[in-house]
Amino acid sequence: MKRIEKNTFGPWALVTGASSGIGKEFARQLAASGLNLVLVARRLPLLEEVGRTLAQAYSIDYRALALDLSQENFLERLETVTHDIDIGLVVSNAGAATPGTFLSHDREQLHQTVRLSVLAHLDLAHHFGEKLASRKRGGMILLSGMGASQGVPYMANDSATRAYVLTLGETLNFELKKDHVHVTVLLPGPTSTPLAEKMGFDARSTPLSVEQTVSEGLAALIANRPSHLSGAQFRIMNRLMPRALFREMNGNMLGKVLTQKQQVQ
Amino acid sequence: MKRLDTYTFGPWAMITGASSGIGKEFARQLAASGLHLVLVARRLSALEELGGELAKTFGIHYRAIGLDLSEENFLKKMEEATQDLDIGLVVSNAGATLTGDFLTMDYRVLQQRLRLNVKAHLDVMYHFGQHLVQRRRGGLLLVASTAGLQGIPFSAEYAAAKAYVLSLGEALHVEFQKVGVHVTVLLPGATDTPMLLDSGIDPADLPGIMKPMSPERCVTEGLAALGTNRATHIAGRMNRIMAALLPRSHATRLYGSMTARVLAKRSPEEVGTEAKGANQLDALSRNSLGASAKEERGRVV
Repeated sequence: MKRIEKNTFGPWALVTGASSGIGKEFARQLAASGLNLVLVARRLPLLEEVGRTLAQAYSIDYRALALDLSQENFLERLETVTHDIDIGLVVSNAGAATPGTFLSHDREQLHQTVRLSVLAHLDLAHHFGEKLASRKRGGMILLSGMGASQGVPYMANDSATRAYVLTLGETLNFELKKDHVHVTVLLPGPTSTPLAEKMGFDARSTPLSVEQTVSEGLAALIANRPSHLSGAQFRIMNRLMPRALFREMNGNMLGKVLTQKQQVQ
Repeated sequence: MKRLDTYTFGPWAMITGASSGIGKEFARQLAASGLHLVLVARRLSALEELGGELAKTFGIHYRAIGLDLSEENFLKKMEEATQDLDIGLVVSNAGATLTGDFLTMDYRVLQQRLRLNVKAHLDVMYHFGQHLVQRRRGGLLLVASTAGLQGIPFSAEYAAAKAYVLSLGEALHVEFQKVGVHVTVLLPGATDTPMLLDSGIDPADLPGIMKPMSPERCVTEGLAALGTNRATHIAGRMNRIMAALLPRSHATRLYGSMTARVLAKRSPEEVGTEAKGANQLDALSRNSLGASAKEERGRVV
């Protein structure tokens, strides 16, 4: 677990997708560093539970807000809950995975993914980026994914949105340096989360724990690295493998997982 | 210039952003291959002029469609205007840059650019992908940019959108390969088009090795790559070398210091007029540096 400086990145932190998986672990580690939390996700009961547990364990304050980040005007509602507090860190993490061939999706589903996995990050980065820049300290972590640096067949739109977020974050890392705001894009290596499970990946193919992925993410933020792929073994793999081969491998792997899922169903 | 096979990629080809620059050159070269053209852009008169010229020179048919691809429902209009045609090739090329500090950008302009530079490609790939997959032959060519290979300071939205397009195309290349539909992402570097000047880059400021390429050469390379179904193709040997040698973070920093120098040379009014407080009613008709569509001639696509 990585401790983070409350004065720089606090007193409040905003975490989206905080009800489970990586978001929930971010909430935990940030609370352990004494940051108060604004927790956002769709499922309020889960958020309340996360908030209550952490408040008790670490004596921090929390606010829970049920929001669907694929809705166009989520920022207005978020402002009403955050306008009176000083947020020093934004973890823009909400996302989903929709494997399948590109043409098998509804066009509306594809648009929803773009709203959730591109527009929401863009909105949060723009809105809170301004606030962080004016306080001249703080940070943003944008969650991307392993498909970010090359398109993944059967995850075409998803991996494209991740490429968008990675690239956006890299730019903002540079631009916000003058305002002393850290921006890091975290790309989780194969991490064991409910989302990964839902996609059909078993424990063997997701060897990283959320604790490790999040610790590494926070360390990267503190060091203001533009991006960070969690899991040393995956960083090595990523560097060694040519783009085309990576693409083929991912495609075959996902194709297999999808076929198995379909058979099970 | 290599001729494209009209059976695979014809009889009709559609090009978005066809009124200038790279799109216009695609129109010319595809007409020279004997493909009939659907030309899409905002300026209908420019499209009609281009279509008429190409029809006369190459004996092809054309249809001009005046459409703003940043409109929410452009696809419906596009579908209606093309449903009677057998389109075998789509060049998804329309786009616009946006230069300046991300945090100073007018939020509505960011949204408009998202619709144009991301959603429009998505919609076009989806709709025409279905058609081509059904016919089991054809091509989709996406125009991305070397700007999409890493973050580019002061071009946050543009670089990110081009990264999206690159990634989408790479994935679709594999998905559509089995049914004989070619998908190629073309990544131009600096190319001698109105958009280059629009983006705030004065070709005179570019180092010798990065001088802008001609649209003709760029498109020739793009069509050759499409013909052999390469997943991606960076236009220009120097651009390819730089892309291969420079890790993402190095490239970002290099572009960053270059652009910072260029921007420092210009007056504060010119830069960041998309910033909040600028005339927002006019904002959406402005090009990437804030000059409105009325002022610019031939810059908006």
